[in-house]
Amino acid sequence: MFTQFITLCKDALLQARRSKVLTVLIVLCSLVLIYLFFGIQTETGGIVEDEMRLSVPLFNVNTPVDPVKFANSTMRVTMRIILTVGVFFFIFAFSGFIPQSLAKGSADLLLSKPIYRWMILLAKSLVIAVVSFFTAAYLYFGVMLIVWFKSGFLTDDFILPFFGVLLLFIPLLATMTLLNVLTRSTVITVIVTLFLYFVASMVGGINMGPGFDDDPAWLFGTLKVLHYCLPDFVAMSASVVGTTRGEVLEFDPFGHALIYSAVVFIISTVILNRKNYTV
Amino acid sequence: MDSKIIEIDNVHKVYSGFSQKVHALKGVSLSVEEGSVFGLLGPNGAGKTTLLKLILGLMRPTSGNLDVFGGDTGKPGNRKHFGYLPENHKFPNYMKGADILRIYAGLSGMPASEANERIPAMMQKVGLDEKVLKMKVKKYSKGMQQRLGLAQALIHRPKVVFLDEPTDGIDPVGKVQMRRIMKQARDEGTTLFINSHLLAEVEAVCDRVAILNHGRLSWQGAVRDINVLGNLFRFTVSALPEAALQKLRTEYKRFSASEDYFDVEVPGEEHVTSVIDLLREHEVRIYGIVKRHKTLEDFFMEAVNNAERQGEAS
Repeated sequence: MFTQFITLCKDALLQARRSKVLTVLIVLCSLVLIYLFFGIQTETGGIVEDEMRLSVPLFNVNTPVDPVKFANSTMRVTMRIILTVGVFFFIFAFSGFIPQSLAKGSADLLLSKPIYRWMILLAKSLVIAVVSFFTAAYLYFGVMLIVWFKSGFLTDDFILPFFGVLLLFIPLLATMTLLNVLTRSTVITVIVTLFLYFVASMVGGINMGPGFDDDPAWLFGTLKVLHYCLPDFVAMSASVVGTTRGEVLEFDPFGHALIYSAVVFIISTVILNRKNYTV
Repeated sequence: MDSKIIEIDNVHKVYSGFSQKVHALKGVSLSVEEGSVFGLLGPNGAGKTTLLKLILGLMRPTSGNLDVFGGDTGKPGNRKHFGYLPENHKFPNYMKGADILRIYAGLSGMPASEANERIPAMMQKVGLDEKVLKMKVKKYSKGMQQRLGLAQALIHRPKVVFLDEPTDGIDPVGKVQMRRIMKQARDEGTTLFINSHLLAEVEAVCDRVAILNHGRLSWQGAVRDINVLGNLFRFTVSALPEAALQKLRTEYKRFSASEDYFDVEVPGEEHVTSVIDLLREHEVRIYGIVKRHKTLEDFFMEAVNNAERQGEAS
């Protein structure tokens, strides 16, 4: 079974490479780095992220008064880019990964091979995780070099938020996998995942606000149930961005998201094992 | 050719939907011997694809026993000796020809180094130029995709190959080549299980045939048995008078007439002279008498029609 699993991983990697996902990810990360390199201006007197100017001449580097503050601000900007553009790109890029293998005409051929069906999901998820990890690592080291170049400040303090931000993608991946297995449709997967992401974010946002226990009871009761069932992307994002201010990464929302992901992955595997994909 | 590698005993398959149940297979029993070429025939909706999927372990039967190599094909390990070319298969668009062969060989458990060594020989075997290995499969014609499909089904040296409409979309020259490949595979000891609508193709390649109709097995046996069944003769004659026609119809069980010939099944070859006497009696000129073998098509139509008549009667 080892040969088969390695082959499934090779196939998924080939898919990432040939479908240009890998190329587009690298290009997008490079664009972010270019933006950060040229777009962040340091000023005497320190820098506040909201006051960052969008354009500066090349090599216009003024030594900041507080390089740590500058590094934190740059990292916060990077996190916000990942949490907005990155999330959408992740959903668009990887939602078609499993449907291609389970498409009409391909499914029977693949499933007739001497493999366990769960291996298909595991191999695809593993490759998506590896691709995401290396893309994030490329971005991380790029940002650190830019910060170092612009402020002379080199630190490894920002590894934690990068791991945190990767954890945030796991419940998205689990949701996409379940939808892939159920529908075999990239379009439905994209739409429903985005919808769930917005619903989960909205519920998370309301939960963070003061009025979660307000009337009407049925509405807030429903929201509480949803908050209990869905991952809290708002809390995770806030926690990741907060770490750049020296806060610790909160375990609760991430633990909750990991449990959600594990349950959804198991359900996906059970469905894939039982489903008859009629050609 | 004496060991059975596929044994199906009283298999039923019921598809349960929200509003209705479809009984796709109704107590099918058949067996396939090692090294044989087995043809599964049947009209559309007969249950051929369902049966194939059950054998391949893609679905579970509702009831009955299904043994392949003495085991349950639902377990992945028991599928390692399978090669499969599905009907209307579609390879992932991002793959090139070489990727298909490498990946599917790997999925069947063949090491990458061995697969790489086999690829040129397989391409030659199925009549594909090695240059097309570097092309993405989305650029392949239907015929090229079919040949590549056959190559992926054979690359890992399977013991049994399931071919669903193998010559679909292939030009006449390609069909002949495809038959040659199938025969070659059989000569190498591979068991072939062919699901096809093309009766002439099945007749040319298969040793044994099963006819499936409305989920029931109408007939199974050797192709040679079909050819020797009955004594069907074609008489090429001048116009038949009505009296002769009536007599032929009443005296012989299987009679069909056309403008300048008629076919008649006689109980034994010696009875041909009786037909000649009858024709002479009515002053009918005889231009030729030929013994006809039943074609698979004749037999298939007969089996399907009989099954339908039995169904109507019950």
